[in-house]
Amino acid sequence: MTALVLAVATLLVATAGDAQVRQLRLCADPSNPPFSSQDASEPGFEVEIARAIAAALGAELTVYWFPTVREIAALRQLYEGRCDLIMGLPLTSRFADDKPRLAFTAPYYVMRHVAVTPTVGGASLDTLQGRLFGVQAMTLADQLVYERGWRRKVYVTPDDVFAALMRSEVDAAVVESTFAGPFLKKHPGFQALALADPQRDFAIGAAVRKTDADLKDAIDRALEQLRARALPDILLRYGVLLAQAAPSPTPPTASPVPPVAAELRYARSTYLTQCSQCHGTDARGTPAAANLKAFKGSEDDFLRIVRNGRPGTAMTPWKGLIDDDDIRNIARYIKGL
Amino acid sequence: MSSLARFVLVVLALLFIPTSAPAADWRDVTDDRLLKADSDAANWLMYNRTYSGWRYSPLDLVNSSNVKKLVPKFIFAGGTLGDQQTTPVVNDGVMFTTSTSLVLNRVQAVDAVTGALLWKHDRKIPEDVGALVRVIPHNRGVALYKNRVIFGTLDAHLVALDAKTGKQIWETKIADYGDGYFVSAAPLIARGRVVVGIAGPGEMGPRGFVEAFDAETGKSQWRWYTVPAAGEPGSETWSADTWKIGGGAVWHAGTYDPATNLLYFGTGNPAPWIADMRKGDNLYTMSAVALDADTGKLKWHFQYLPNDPWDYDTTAEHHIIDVVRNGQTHKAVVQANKLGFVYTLDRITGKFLSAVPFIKSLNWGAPDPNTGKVTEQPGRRPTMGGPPVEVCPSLLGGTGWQPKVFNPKTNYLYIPANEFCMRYAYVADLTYKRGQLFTGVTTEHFSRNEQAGVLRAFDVNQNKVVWEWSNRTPLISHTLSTAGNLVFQGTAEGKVVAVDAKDGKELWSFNLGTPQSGGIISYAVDGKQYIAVAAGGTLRSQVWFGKEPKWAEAARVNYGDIIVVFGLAD
Repeated sequence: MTALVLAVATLLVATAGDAQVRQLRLCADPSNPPFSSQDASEPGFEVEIARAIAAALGAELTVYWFPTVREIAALRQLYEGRCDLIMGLPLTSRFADDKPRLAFTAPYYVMRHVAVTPTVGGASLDTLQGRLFGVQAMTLADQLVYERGWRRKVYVTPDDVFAALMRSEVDAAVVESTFAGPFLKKHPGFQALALADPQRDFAIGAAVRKTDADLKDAIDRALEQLRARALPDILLRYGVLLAQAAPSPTPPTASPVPPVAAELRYARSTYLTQCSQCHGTDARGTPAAANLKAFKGSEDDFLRIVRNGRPGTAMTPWKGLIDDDDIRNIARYIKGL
Repeated sequence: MSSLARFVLVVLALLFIPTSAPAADWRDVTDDRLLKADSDAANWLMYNRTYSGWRYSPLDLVNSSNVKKLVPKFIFAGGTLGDQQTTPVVNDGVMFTTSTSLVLNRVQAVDAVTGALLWKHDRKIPEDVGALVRVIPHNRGVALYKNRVIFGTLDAHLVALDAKTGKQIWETKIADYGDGYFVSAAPLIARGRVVVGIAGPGEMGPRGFVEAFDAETGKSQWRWYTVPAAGEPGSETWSADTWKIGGGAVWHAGTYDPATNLLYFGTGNPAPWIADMRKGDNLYTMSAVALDADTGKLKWHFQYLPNDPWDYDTTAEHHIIDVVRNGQTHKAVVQANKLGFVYTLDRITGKFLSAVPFIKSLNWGAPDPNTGKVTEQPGRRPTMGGPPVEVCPSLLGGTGWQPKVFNPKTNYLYIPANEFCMRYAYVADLTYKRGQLFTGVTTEHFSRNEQAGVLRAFDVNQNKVVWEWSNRTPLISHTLSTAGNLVFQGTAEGKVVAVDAKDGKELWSFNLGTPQSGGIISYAVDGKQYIAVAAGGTLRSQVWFGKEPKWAEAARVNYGDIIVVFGLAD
């Protein structure tokens, strides 16, 4: 415990009378249930986990409320020191690689896609074949259902999807487990079936400024302490764990296209949809764009050029739109062509 | 006083002399002037010059007998690189033009005789705009109203500037650029309203719309969505509630008929591009729509292509023309579009009158000549995981957004047309992310013709092509017709040519040094006629040269951002 307290010496930010109070400042969205909310009766599981982390560090949690819809603006609050911690970030290199100013903690839960369906309907995805699936439009869930050749109906928000499930407009709702959990908690007649697609599971953790390396280590140790008891308690209370049923053994429909190494699947899709119009499907370039097969630079050079673009040419900057890991995988995909 | 000090003072005094008198001479661009723009021969007051969308100049001082004496008078450099699609407008000797890049929307006022810069207004664009803006950060020009210069922005705002100073008067947020929305089209003013179509939805997801704003205050007055919501007529043409992400951008300027008070717009492709993901006709994408200018209510619609799988946006302008066929006059709108057909519709009722092909590279199918109802050729729709299909025309269309022009003296519609095809396939294992292009296709453009770009003169009364002038690369450049029996046509090779309006014979040509990609207009100041040609190329949208070896030479031409203004040699 001593080590922890020493490590959070950087958190000394406020004094109350003579007693110094250690504060851990969290950036969180004021109205984003079940993740975070200004409503003190249901503060959200991420606020509760942050509070448990702060307690383990012997600090008090304060919250700087800021909408997180715009990721760049939200992260700026952290970079500029209005808070020390941000929760709910995917721990993938896809996400992390273009955020060099962040240090990521260990995960505190895994988010995956599940099909929520009435318990009476049966217990496996097999029995749902040919039925109607509700999804949020333009999300990964939408794509997962489309890829499997299931009949789908789209909605604009997760709430709309659940409302449709409640009035039996759809037979199942494919949603992220974080949304499924609270729903199942309130509606006992429903169950969650995981879609077996571990590639699309996301371990979720928190981040601090990279310069606060001590704080990151302290939070990791705190999470280790909390993992046995406090963490499952909070996640269960919000139903987040409830939705994490064991993956269904049904494999996804076999893809008709030539196989590509699994980790390059995203890269191929991103290359073909975002890049091939100019560089060609064979990456050998066109009069308007470079032959990428002839690219002599390193993978880091490739990454830098794709991120920043080539001023004065048709090459536009892609930072913020294609993740660094994706760009590196595109480089590998092109090599393999 | 030393002679040096006196010299300095004289120079300073000279510097303070206004470089031009237009500020004092400014005449407000009133509704009355806009309604009578066709008879205001010296000026080019709006994007298409008149509400009818003709791009026809009644000036004839420059004509087919003296066009050989046309020489450059000045060149104005806009200061950006490779994204030039603007059409300048001119009011009493002052030209207003736009230049864009990924980082800014720029509006400039220029002395239309000397080319002197009067003022410049730069609006910074946020870094995190979506993929479509990053690939095509275009702006096609401003609208003039009273003493204001009004334009839409890459971050989906509408802005009004003081025409004399370039200072901002008001700005209105139209939509959230985070959802992929932006404005590329020039706004249209109709009786005190600024009417704007939105870009982005066809490739980025959300629903397209046309919106009208009060020109005095910038306040929204009505918005009409191109894709109906649940329960509204037409929503049943979208399977699985896909209307919510239906696309249908309106990224090109509309036309207006003051007699009917109707606005005519062409709507874009539905989203996503993978047609199976949105089974149904997908109303009102790929349609002609007539909207009441006061309320934004849909008066009629005609859908050119149900469930479009080829990105054949029918956004081209609808020319307001009274056509005479078999002795009978029809109050019509005429659209030559990507599908490769010249459509004639009754502009009061929307009734289909005719559809006639104007290109030869055509294999997707055809509209029924009597009803307009489409029959597709089997096997032209790509399938998920299937091999590329060959479809003609390419997705850039028989003719795309590049304006068609109509000359009432010849009764010809001049169509910058393209003879080319594409190999087109859906991307398997598609993944997608908010902000990225949501097209899901791969495309390769090619041509079986030696000359892929063909300017065709189409007689709207005889309903047939009467002559053609051809060019090696596809014509994605602009056209102008004048009362001087001339048609001006730009090319991607960087040329602007003048041909005889009656027979297409080439009379004059000039090498601009950079692809011709913006508007070509004509105006007069102090009794002299000028032709202004906006050029510079749109480098990211010229990728359709692709691997076609015939076009490699043209793809080497450098990009700039210039307006070259021509007049007769003194």
